[in-house]
Amino acid sequence: MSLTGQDLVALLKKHPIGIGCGLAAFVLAGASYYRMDLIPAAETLLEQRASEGEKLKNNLKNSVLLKEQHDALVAANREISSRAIRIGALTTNLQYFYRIEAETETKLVDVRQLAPAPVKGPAPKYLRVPYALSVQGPYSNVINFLRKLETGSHFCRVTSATLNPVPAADTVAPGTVTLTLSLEVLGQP
Amino acid sequence: MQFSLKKSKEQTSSLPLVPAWHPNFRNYARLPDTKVVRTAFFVNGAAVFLAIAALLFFAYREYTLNALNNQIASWNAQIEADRGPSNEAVALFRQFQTEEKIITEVAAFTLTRLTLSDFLLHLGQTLPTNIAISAFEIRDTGITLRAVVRGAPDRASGQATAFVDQLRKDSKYGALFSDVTPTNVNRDPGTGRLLIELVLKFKPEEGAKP
Repeated sequence: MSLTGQDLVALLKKHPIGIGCGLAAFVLAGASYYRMDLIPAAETLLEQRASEGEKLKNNLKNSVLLKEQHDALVAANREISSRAIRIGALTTNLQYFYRIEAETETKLVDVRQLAPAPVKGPAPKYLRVPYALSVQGPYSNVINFLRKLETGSHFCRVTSATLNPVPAADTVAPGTVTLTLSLEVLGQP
Repeated sequence: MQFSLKKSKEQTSSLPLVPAWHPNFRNYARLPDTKVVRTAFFVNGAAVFLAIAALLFFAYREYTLNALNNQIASWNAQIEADRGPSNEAVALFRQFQTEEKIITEVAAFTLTRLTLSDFLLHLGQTLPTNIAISAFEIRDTGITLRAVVRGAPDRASGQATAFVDQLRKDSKYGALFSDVTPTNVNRDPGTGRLLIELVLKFKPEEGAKP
């Protein structure tokens, strides 16, 4: 026994609701199956977009005062740069020590700019320029000389120092001391 | 010949029916259907239920998908709006880091244990009356002080010990030193004064290797 077209039409006419609903259910189930992967894919995409969006939003939130802070750093670095010596400007650099010598009424026995230690890796913006100097004078003047060096216009740090009295002689006033210093001054290549 | 009490099938089927007590005149073709609920009702009901369930399931998933797509579109719009300012902020932050690195480098340079002139002035202000500094030396590891103590030898040695204690307990600089040790104590044969040599050893810097 086989179903003919007429039989099918008759069956459809006899059970229109059942057959119609069954067909609709079948079609909807097929459509659901066909679009099954879209939701997980959309969820993954949403997660990526939300993560990226949050990152950008945080960037903006954290950069509210960045411009002001950057400007402050640039200004500070400009100030530092103006206070750093130029390694090649030897006479200008020594002039700095002679000016302090004159201001403090001491005598610079020796002052030498030495070669900076080689630096590994990328060239830094600033270098530590070593100096060896020896100054003589009354104790208070020598201390004044040292103080002006440490708090002067150039960044300077004492790496070693020796303070000794100068033996009394005809050419040296009593109470004279010698301060021998090893210094590092912040410099730019 | 076999005997059995059970009736054989042939015998059972061949038994005559009990004769009706009156003739059956019913016309079954014309009688009304007495089935209360038709099978077709259940079949239709199941089909409708399935169709509605499939429709609801499909609609729910489409609604969810639509909501997700709306959220993605919203994030995309937000990202597009924020990308430019964010890129600018990131570029500015890189510049900030470069500037900060320079500041850190300079700060490390200027950060010293003590300002030597301040220390010498403090030492001069707190120096006991009968003690005079004759030499001073500072290195990475510490400070060496040479001093002369005036007075009788028995009192001079006591003053030297008191000076060592004073340096150890110094309110401003005492904390910088791990130890203050007299390394040499002699009497000057010419003047008879006591010559002392003290070593003020710096504490290791934080983060420095022992």
